Amino acid sequence: MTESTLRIVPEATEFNAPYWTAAREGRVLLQRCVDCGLVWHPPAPTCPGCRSHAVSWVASSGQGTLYSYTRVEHSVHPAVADAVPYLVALVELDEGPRFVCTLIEVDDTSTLCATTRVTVGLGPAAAGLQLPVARCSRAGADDPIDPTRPA
Amino acid sequence: MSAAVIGIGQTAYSRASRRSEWSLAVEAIERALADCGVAPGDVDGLVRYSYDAVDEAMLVRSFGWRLRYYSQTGYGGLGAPAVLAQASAAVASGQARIVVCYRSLNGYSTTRYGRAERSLGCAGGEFVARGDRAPSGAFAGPYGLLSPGQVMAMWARRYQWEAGIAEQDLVRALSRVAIDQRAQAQRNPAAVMHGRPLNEDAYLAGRVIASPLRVFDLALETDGAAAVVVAAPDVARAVATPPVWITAAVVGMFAYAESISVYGELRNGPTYREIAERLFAEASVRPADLRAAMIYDATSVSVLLGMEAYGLAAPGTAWRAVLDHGIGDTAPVPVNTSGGHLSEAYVHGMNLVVEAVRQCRGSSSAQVERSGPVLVSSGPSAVVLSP
Repeated sequence: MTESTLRIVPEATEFNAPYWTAAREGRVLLQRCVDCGLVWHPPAPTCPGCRSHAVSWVASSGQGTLYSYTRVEHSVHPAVADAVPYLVALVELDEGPRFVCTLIEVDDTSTLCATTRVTVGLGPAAAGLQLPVARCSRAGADDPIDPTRPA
Repeated sequence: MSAAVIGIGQTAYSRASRRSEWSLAVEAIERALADCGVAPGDVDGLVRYSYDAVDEAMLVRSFGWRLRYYSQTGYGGLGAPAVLAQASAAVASGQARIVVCYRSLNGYSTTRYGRAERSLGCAGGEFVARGDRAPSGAFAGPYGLLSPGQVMAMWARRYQWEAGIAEQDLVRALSRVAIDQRAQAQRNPAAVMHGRPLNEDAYLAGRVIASPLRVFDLALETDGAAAVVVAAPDVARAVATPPVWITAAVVGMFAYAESISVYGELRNGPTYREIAERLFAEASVRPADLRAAMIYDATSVSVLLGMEAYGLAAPGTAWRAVLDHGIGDTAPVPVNTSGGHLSEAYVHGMNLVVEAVRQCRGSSSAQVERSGPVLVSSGPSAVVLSP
């Protein structure tokens, strides 16, 4: 198997540029309403709760719970042809919003369930970039994942 | 009763039409007009899917129409009920008297809806994920979440967890949906999967596409077109075909209710159920009164979710209802009786509309021998059709 040189890159816009700058470093920025405190994702120009235009960015803790996942076994695009099988997680971050990312370093998917805790940090996304990805949190700790740990 | 479906038409369904989508659209519309005996020149309205590559400008040239009304419905498969809702509204408000609705696609030979090429851009030798939708948008595509089926695989897993059932039970229920729809396709000579029955062993031997969904859980990719003619009551009563009345319609939208999403309610959630309750109240029917239901089945799990949203099973119980009764002749309300998208054809819901009309007329290849209206639903949009 050869290393794929095809990648899928996100298109940043002037309105969500801070998000992607942080994402390339493995951090997830969420939007937070200055007036009512609601936190949401993906980014939007106004608060979906109170319609305030005062929107700020806050860093997610990266901690969350698995809302759902799938193990993609069939490639639907050349950029992930060499990546299958891979896991995609839908994470419910502790701040509230759901977040899609690749889920890595899972040995046995039968252990995954609706209470599985995950930690989001820099790692290999399925389509070739280093981005925030999810790993199962180690039992009893929300310690940061050791970035030197082999995938 | 302000508008009725009076004509239906479809092309052959295949994976290699060797014709343009324009040609397919013309044939399906010609057949729908011939079905009800309406002269092509009498058409004054047109409603289409925004996704259709065949547009109004092309069809007015083909048919010589002078339209007074045209409109489009968005969000792909949500358009199946929505085209009827728009046509009905146009007729009821007097903006048009005879409206054609259609969908035409070379869904295998030109644009494969199961693949991601259609939704990704390309720049500087890299593929670009744009916008914020899942699948394929900037917040999903780089992670390999690239197709509708992958999103629905996550719906299926979440459904399993919320219902509190084992994966085996989920898989058995999904397999029953796929197997029963395939059995209906054996009665439907026009179905792509006619002549190719499916049993549980073959289902389980099917390759996993995105767990827990196997290949038989996903819609086909089809070349073909389907069309219907919607008309005012006086027209409907004058033609030879029996009118199929559009008795209630909802074209719903709320946060993350677009056709495929990961952020909103699961599609059996309370907002979907409220939409359904109001629809049934407007139609003065109960779910149990339905003759049949056409539930948009991009994947098999959509049937379970749709059954719960539209009152055919209580939340968290459709899997059990399907295991007990199936969705075919032995079901209290049979679902997707033509074989649906899983086994008849994938015409983005228009083939489900055509089958709903056949059920109302009594001309389905899997005719339900019971009176009553027929539901066509797709997420937050739905119509009730009545003979």
